[in-house]
Amino acid sequence: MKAEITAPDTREDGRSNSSARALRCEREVLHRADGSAQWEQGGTKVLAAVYGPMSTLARKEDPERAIIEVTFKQPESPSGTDLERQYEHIIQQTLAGVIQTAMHPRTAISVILQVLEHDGSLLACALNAASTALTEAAVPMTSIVVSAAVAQDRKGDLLIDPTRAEEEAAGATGMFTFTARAEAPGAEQLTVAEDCLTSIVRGPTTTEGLLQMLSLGHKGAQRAAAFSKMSLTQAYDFL
Amino acid sequence: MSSGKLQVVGPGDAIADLPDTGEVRVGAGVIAADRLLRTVRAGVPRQTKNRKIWTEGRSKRYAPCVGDNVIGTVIERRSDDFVVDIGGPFAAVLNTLAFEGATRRNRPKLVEGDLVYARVVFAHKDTDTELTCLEVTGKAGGFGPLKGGMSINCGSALSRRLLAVPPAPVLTALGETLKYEIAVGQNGRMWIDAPRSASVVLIANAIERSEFLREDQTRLLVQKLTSHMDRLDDG
Repeated sequence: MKAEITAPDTREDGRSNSSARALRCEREVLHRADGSAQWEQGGTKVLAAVYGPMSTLARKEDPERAIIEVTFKQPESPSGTDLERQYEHIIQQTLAGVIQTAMHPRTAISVILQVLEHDGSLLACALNAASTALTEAAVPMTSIVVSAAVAQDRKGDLLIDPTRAEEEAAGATGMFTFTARAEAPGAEQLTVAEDCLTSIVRGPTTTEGLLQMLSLGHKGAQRAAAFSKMSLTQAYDFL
Repeated sequence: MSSGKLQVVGPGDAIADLPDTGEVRVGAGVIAADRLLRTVRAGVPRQTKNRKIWTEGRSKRYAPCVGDNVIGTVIERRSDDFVVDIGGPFAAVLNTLAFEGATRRNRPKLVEGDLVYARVVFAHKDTDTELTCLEVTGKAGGFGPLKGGMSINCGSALSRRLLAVPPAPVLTALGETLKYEIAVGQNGRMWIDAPRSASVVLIANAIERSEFLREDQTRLLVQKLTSHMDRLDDG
């Protein structure tokens, strides 16, 4: 897959269309959580906490597997909105694709995502934070998940990792999640799967546009995967 | 794994090829999939002397495993057993007769909140975890109720380091000036007892702070902390 990128127009914040914002990741930020991480993409910051696998209410538990509960909170809407419920559902479904739930039957794995700052690409940032926090909590997973957001502006140009203003002005926005893991023993880099685990696209676009968004999303996910690997290596250096 | 530099792996990463014989011993955190051995959690792949492959990571929550020595808190007394919290997803059961010298008439008098050092004898994801305070020989062998002292959560990575042979530098450094007793559970808990409560606090602090320090730094830290101790004695 190769993303076709139009002329290197500079965006409002000085980036070219195909350059993502700086990534920042802090692990084990919370003392009481089993695993936690703060993931930042430019001005978007999400704090993730993972509790579990732990015992849960009898009416909730599944005798065959662990259940995954996701709570998504934004600072401006403490009561919870429909969009938050929708995000929770998307994140829950995505994480269920990689967590080995059968290893801990009758338990619950609780993922709590607190948005600290929202400047676009929120869902992608939240998923990256959740994946990192799950890794820290040593929840068994078959791979990590890496996500990237893409926006298509009114001219039809694709913008990777859009800011909030760019998302609001865009014709269509997309968020793509892929699985990433080392496919050979001792591999230096993680391989991001070609198959998309989750894709959320809003707004009108052509088939061609959708495919371009997907391949640009894949590129963004590769960057997140490389960063994630680097962050993990530094975090476990003490062992 | 074979190279000198440690290789950190993340969930799902391939750590080794499945040998052609198809026979391999895998430990915690490793699964076999598509002719590869993959880890399901982050850490460093390691191999034991009998060629068992496992991933050494860190975690705060404990997943019970047969043979682990754990520190638990009694949370309930029942007619035949104690319900003990060992930090796993579910509480474990400890039979009242699984203590040295215990009989139907002479049972250990443990109450809610008491600490026990026990061994996991049965662990399966679908059933209750079972503990015992007996060695295979029927002797206590160090297991049993932990009286007095203090217990703290230290996480699995630190507890593994404290249990290592030769002993962790922090333990030997502390032992040069202080008299203390310590029990470390593989469930990421430790228990410390010393004649004076001030030393218990000092030891707990020294151990917790030594996690990310090198050996020389650890010695310096212990020296600094114990010098405060001497001053307390003088006053």
